[in-house]
Amino acid sequence: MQEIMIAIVLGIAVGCSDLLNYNVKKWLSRFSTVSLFIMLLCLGAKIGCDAELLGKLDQLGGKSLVMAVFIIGGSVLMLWLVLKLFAKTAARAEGSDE
Amino acid sequence: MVYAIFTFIALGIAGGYFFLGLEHKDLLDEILMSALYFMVFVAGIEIGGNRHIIKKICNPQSILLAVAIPTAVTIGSLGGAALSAFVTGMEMRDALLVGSALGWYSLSSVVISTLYSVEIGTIAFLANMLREVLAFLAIPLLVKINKFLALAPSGAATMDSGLPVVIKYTNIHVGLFAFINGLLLTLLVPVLLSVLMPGQ
Repeated sequence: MQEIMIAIVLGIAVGCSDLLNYNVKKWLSRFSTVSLFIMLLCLGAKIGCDAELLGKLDQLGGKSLVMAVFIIGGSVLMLWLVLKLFAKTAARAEGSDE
Repeated sequence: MVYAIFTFIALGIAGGYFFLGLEHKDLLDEILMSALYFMVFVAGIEIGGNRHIIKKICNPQSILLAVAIPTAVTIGSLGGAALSAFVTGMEMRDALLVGSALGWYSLSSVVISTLYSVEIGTIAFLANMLREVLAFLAIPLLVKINKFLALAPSGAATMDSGLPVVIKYTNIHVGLFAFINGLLLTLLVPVLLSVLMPGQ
């Protein structure tokens, strides 16, 4: 967790310094997408290489999947309701640089 | 992008199953963390380069929203977990314990396995890991309804592994709220676990 904090603080410092030009930032963003795919590949590989975990997936996976779906569903629904209450603030906070 | 995400996870599982063994887990962890640090570093650059956004959220309404989001995600996660107890036949307390991990599978599985039950600890690990995997698939679809909904599926992971994905599908403004959401949820997980842990 400490390393993540260091990485984000370093990133913010570099970003604030305005040292990087547009092209460098564009390339960094591309590398970031590649990193995301590498991360997903490794996440999958970590599950795939662990026979014991795969066995448990078979045994407890159904229960866990149902729980994951309900937990995601519950949090999405609750947040959706809260966003209805904060519609104006959320629209303003969302920005327009997409 | 959803297909790409799904494909890479599936390729990873297949590759891991056929070509790798448990001895490669440490190496995979190192690659995973290196990729994550790089993505978080780049996300930091984007936040730093758009520092006017930080000023933009320094007002009472935005601060209230920044607190309301993790509150909603926590209540929703626990509510969803409680409902799932009726479907899975689990004890309500066990289901709430799994939900209280808020996506932080590494911590919750170790704590629950050590202090309570290995089986519930394993379910906490699997359910919360699946939460992260499913979040990668759900985020691209949810942002079509409301960009802030991208903050719900990942839970505590919106400050690390989920952050680059949230920024990619929304923008740096929502990314900042994602970071705050993940930070507050991460702080809350140990508290919830200790409150809900049986016999504590």
